[in-house]
Amino acid sequence: MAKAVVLLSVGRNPVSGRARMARAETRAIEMAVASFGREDVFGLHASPEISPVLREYLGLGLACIEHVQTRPGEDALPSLMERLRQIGPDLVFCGQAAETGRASGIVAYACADALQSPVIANVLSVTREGNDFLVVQGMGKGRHRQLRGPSPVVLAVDAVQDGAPIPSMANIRAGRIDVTHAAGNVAPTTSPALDVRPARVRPKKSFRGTSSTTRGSGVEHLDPESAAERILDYLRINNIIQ
Amino acid sequence: MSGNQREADFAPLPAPGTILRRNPRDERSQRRRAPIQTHAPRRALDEVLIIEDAEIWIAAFLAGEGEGGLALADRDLLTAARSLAGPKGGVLAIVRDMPDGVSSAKELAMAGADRVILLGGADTPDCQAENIGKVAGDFGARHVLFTEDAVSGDVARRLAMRFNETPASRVRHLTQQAVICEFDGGTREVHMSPPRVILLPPDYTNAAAEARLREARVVRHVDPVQVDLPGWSIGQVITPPASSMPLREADFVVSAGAGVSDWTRFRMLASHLNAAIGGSRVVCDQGDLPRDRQVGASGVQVDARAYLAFGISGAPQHLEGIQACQHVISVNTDPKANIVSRANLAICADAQAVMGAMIGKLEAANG
Repeated sequence: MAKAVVLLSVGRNPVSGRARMARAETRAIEMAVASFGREDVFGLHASPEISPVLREYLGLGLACIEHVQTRPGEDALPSLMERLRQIGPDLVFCGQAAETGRASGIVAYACADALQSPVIANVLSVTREGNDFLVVQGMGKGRHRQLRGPSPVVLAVDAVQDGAPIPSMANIRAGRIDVTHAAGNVAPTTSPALDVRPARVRPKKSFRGTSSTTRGSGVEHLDPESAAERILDYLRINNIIQ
Repeated sequence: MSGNQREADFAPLPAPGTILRRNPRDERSQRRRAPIQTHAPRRALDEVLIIEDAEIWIAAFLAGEGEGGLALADRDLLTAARSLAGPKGGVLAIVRDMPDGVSSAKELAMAGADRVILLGGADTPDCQAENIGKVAGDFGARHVLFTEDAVSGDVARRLAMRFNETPASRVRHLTQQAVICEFDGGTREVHMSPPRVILLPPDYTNAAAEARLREARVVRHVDPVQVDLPGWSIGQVITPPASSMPLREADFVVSAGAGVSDWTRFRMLASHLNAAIGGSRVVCDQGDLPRDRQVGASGVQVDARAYLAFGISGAPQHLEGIQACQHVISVNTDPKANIVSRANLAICADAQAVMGAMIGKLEAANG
């Protein structure tokens, strides 16, 4: 029986800083449940303690979340990988990048390394076609491509900006969270101490117009025909239109 | 003789009855100024600076398509690599293939590339990561820089896995000694020594590019390794029409403000230009455009290369939404409107008439 695992993390509201469901992971759960059905998908989360956000994830249609309890200060990745190796899932879904911490987006690649399977980044959608999976991968600027292939594969799901799904209370009550302890045969590695400081305001790239900042002085007064010509020339010179 | 030396060593004693004073201005003028370290005297751009044995190599992976020369993101990446390499370092520009022949070779040289490496092999990210890793190993490159976007980011993380390290992503500041990255979504930052793989976000600010012509010697990287996705077939990259694209992903946006009254003409122009449609808050409030087309602080932050605004005055909230746009063109009847100071091309004319004229010219050009 095909199985799918969704790696879950606790997200962070960019404005208020409150813990929330990570956007990419909610997308991942929707995709996984749609292509595997509720019973064959389960969530996997590793942290020292259970966050109330995990229960919200249950409300999106997961029947079960496994919480791998790690020691405080321990790097969660090795025990997560060890558990994944034991399960041997067909598909692993995870978010493209975390919403907290360094958000380096390396987890999907570490999973793929642990399971010796390929990894596909920026996944927009997945559909199941018999034994194969049809994956749509985003390539930036609205471009995308289709990939078709067999499991096992690790999918890093792109976050969607608009609209968080609303967890259903019935699903939260029906789902369960199983707690397991970090596997004993993994030597606990402490995550390296990071030099974290409050953010400073740093310059960002900004584009400035070339017309003068003095009001009204950079304007070209043209009749419609020559204005149209001028605009189209500008667009062609800068390779915006052919 | 010994008496003379003693006189030179010690300042003469003040005459009895005078106060010993220091004259700071005099001391300052006596102090010899250290010569300012200028690593390269500014010479004319036709003199090529050649680096044979670089102290350190910094590689930069340029993923740009190369249509119409070097992409802006790639140019920025090379500038960052150049300033990281320092005066005695060299910059390797790793490209998939030479984009446009001679003109772009010159552009790479201007942007600060000492060597250009043509990466062979397949187009898959795994294959590229493997080959970039090989190049970095051959040259002993200290860092490999990538733009943090969908395609390059994928390659970069695969390379970091090969180096068995965590890449530096969401970089705010980068020097040879330290890299500062965003932490917890930008509310905090983490300082660390730079890893080998560094991802620079598209809005990373660079020091000014040096005005030197570098060599950009093309090195064909022989014997590319083939790595493929076993059992997976990869389809062609599809670019959807701009009309079906979310506004924040569009590369070219045509936008309407209160000065637009002919909406059929506006939509027709957008489809002729293959541009996504956007609008100011006013037109979305009036119901002329759906809410998801609103550009600005309470709408969408546009990431387009070009933004063509009709009848938009440019409220600060609206201008916030177009911060990332490289080219802004405005057509407005008010020559004193706010958007004029932001626009690269500001035209004072009636929007309806200009839209009509543009449609006419585009239809004539397309036959």
